[in-house]
Amino acid sequence: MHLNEIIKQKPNEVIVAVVRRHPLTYVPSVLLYVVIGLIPIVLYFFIKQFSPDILANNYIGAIIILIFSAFELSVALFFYSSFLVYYLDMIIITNDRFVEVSQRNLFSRSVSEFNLYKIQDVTSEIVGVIPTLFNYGNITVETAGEGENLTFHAIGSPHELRRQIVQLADENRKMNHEELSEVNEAHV
Amino acid sequence: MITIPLFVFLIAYLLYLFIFLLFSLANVYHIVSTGTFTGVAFVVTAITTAGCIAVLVTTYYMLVDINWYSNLILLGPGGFVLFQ
Repeated sequence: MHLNEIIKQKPNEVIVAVVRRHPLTYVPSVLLYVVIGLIPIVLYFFIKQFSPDILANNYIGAIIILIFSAFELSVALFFYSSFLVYYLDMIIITNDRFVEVSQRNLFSRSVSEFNLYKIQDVTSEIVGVIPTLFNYGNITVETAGEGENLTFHAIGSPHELRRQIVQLADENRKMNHEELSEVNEAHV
Repeated sequence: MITIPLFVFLIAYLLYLFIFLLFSLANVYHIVSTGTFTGVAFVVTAITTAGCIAVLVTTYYMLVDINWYSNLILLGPGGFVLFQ
């Protein structure tokens, strides 16, 4: 399966952009997992330094090593799962639609979409020192109808993306209007 | 006398490894099947896999001389005893 199968890509549809949260927002998670992963290693050397008899014992030493090993593997597994949730959370913008893929956890994913011509307003904002330095912020998309506004947080280059979305929405509205006119003429 | 052979803990660890492997394969399957196995995903997957292999190899070498058939006595004739 590829991205085009997730969004059920139409014949004349082209994927223009795939947008994810800025990588900097994932760094705190990475650091947390690194710190947690270091705990057994630090504990091991601590025990070896101050109570070497414990590790020298055939039984306790083996059990401690097995527990530490299982702990480290669990940390690696949880880290990779959290990376998956971060990486599979994305917005896919085509020349026709706006598709939001939300990976809530490993076995839970939702996909929502709307046509670009329904976009009425797009707002981008960068708030804060670090977001300003690293150029990431929020984008709010307002659509026609009764749907709620959609806000996407910590997107890289939000102002540039807003311009791109507005341009694509205009082009899509034009194309949609032309198709409707052709259909009306055919019926007449 | 209540004893637990040490290899019981090894079997429990191996069972955990099996479950770990299943979840790891599910993770990799997810990222490959969604077509998002890009350069970044490859690097993170490679680093995580290398880390896991390092943990397993280190665990193996630290436990290679262990006598797994030793018995852990929990309750002996003289009361609670930890080791034989």
